[in-house]
Amino acid sequence: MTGARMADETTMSAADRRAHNNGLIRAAIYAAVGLLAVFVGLFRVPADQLTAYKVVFEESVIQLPDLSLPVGGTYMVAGVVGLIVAGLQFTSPSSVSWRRLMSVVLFVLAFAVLTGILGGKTPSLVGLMSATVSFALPIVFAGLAAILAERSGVMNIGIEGIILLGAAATSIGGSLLGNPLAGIAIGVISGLLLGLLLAVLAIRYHVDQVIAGTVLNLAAAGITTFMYTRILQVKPDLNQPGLVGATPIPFLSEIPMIGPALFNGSFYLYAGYILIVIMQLAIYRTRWGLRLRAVGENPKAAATIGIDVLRIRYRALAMSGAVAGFAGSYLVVVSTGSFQIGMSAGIGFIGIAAMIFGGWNPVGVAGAALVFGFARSAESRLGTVGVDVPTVFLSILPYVVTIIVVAGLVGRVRGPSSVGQPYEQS
Amino acid sequence: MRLRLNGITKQFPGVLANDHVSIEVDRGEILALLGENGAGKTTLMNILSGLYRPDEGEIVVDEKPHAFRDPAEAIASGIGMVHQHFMLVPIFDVTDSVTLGSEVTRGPIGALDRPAARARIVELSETYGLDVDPDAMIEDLPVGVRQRVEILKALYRHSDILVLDEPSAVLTPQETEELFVIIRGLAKAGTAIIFISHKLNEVIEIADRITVLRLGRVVGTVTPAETSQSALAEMMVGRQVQLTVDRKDVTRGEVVLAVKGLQVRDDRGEIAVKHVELEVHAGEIVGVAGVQGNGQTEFVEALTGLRAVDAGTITISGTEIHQDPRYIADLGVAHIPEDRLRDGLIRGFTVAENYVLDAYHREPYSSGIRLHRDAVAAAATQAVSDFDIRTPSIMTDVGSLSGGNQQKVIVAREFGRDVKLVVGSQPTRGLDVGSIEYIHRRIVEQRDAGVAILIVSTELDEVLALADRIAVMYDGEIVGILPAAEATRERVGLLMGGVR
Ligand SMILES: Nc1ncnc2c1ncn2[C@@H]1O[C@H](COP(=O)(O)OP(=O)(O)O)[C@@H](O)[C@H]1O
Ligand SMILES: [Mg+2]
Repeated sequence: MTGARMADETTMSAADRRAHNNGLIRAAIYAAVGLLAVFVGLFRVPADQLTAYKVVFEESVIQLPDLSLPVGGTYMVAGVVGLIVAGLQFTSPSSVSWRRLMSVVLFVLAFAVLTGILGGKTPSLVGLMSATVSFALPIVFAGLAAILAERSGVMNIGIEGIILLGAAATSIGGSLLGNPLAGIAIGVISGLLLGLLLAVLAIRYHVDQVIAGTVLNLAAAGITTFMYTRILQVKPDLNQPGLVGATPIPFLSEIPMIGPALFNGSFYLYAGYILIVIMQLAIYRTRWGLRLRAVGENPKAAATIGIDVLRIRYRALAMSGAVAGFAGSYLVVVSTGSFQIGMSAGIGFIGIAAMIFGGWNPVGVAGAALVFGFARSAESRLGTVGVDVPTVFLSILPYVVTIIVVAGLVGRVRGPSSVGQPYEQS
Repeated sequence: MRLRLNGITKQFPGVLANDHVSIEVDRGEILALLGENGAGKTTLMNILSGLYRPDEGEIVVDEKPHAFRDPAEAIASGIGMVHQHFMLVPIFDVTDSVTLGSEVTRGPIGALDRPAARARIVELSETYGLDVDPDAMIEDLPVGVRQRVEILKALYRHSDILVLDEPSAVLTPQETEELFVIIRGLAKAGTAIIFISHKLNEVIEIADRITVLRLGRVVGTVTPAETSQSALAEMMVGRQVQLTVDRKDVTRGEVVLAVKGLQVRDDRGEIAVKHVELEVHAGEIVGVAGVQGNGQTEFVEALTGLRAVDAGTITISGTEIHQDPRYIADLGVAHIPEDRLRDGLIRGFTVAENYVLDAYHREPYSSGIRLHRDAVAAAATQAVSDFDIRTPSIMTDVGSLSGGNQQKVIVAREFGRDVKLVVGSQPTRGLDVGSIEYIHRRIVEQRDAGVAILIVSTELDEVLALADRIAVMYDGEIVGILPAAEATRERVGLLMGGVR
């Protein structure tokens, strides 16, 4: 076996050799982490320590007993999974398909660590899931906004700022008109207008798209802070747009574990489902989507057959802005009930990360947003359960996950080729 | 007349690309538009296809004047264009590429009807003998097939005025013959064809009439029967041209470049160069012929240290080289890259700065951290006069020079070293005939002085004119090496198509 491997290596090309070595390194890491987990499970946790996860809410119709997991056992299972994956990776190091297993390893490990941190407590798994979805939702909208822009070939770095301004507009509009729905409409319209502003800068005046977006973000932070301290704090009744409540779906919302998370939300949740499906179909199965993708990949080719490149880009950015504004309104009328300084909290940027992680397609974005949403909800849940991990570590968790995912897991994915380059019409 | 262009004029900043150009073509007729690089052929066709607006002049279709505001209007008048640089989306399949812009849809929201679109394409490709797989991805198709997709795009839109801009540039001689069969078939069916080329033999073979363009102006219109290659060449260039290169008999010396079992990957990680074995001796020119995209780019990048070698070895005068361009240059390798503004020059730098790119870090141009501008200026001034570089001054931005003069800056710099080996990739691409002659003369001078020369070119005529031995590259492999005496157009052409 060793001899065969040696012979292999001498005839292999440099690139194959690199892939092979990377595979071996990955196998070694899995094995080390797996062994560590087994060791921790066997020797470092009290043998009888349990973590009892609640899988239903107290007020749920269906009641189930807690899911009690032995902490040591969970570590050991995670360790064994890590060792198995290491073994698979070791037998054929350069096979790409094993790379997908990285997410499996990461997931079981994360779960084991979580169970360990929570040892002896009774955390709510169903609560964790609900929080995951509600944190994921604005990231989904931000990611969809990013897709709309980039598929047309324009980078929208300004989503973060549009969310913030959209949130402020929602709050003030809703307060003035005395109706949160009216506030949402105003938030969406201001997002649309900001998207168009960005489009004019990027498309008409060829302003560098990164700079245009960054300027928008900085301006949004400044303007909203100013408005908050000078207006909203002076007249608090301008910052009371009202809340949009949850609309549970009968029966489905009673499914243990996932029901409350997936089927007991505000209309934003259902709008999110619909938007994901519609965008997925529209991008890949309609004339509009075909032209959008063509413009994003090769605008000149699209222009030579009579497609109006600029019009498609303007529309795409308007839609992108509107969806980002919608995300901003969510933060106000669902999460907090009022506008707060800096409430976008990086959601726009995490949305862009979700777009990349999700391969520029809507369903992928939804998956990526769930990963990021989980990190956020773990942060907030662990804080409330009262574990002895310093809060700084908890609060940087979502960003660390974002960095790890984008830098480590995604690898090389290909976005639309013309992104960032202005198109010149002659 | 199906189509007439009347007095079309188009001014670009600093260039009068079209100067009162008038041409006409009727149903079933093949008009060749002949002109050297930069004559204004593409500009004229971009005006016809609605991509550019003319400053003056009119487009008359079926005796009705039109002013196309965008390509959609030109398409509606029956004009179909196969662009010199293909206008395709690499990650689309053939069906999407052909139908894009006039999609087959169902229902009010424009859902794509892929089966219907696919059936239409299968039908078209059978009718016109254009063999294409409707489900293949564009990026996986060879250039010849991509061209068929472009023709299908025009036919799908019911174009009966078909413009082909330098279509043979990416084809083997045999593929060009196949294209001619298709073109003649379309003409017989009543399509008006405008065939653009700068190759004399082709226009004589295919055209009913030939309109010659020089420096944006129509020089004249002739029929193949009343003209000859040399007469056309004179019309095209405006003076007598020598169609062959003078060369001395030189006995070739020892091996300078030795390539063994070379394998190289392209940007996508696919193997682009497969087990290439090649030697180039001092005092000989080896020409590598082949259709664009058969691994030549990656091969040259590996030789010049711009791309990693995957397997195999490259030795220059006995020294094995690795991915280190400066080391390779210092070994005495001159590189004329295929894309001068990407790999050869720095746009925004002056002629003088570009001239010392290979040596700025050494005496006499610098010492320590100081750059000696006087020394740089003196050397550049000398080079400008030695190589007849037409530039307002050595402090001019190299990007504002003509292609021919940019190429001379590169040649001046690269040949200014102590050269043992010249690696020239498409050394005359896009140049006018005067510059082509000049560059060729300089290359042959180097050979006569005992330098080993490797010329990679997709222009078969260039390889045939220069090389002592001709290697043909197909699908990443060297499929044959012929001495110049045995290298006929037909034999090399077959090898270029992969037929051994
Ligand atoms: N978009 C443009 N802007 C400025 N100059 C151009 C442009 N397109 C072409 N030119 C110039 O116009 C002249 C004619 O170019 P072109 O029509 O491409 O020639 P051909 O197709 O005959 O080789 C050249 O000098 C070229 O540099
Ligand atoms: Mg041209």
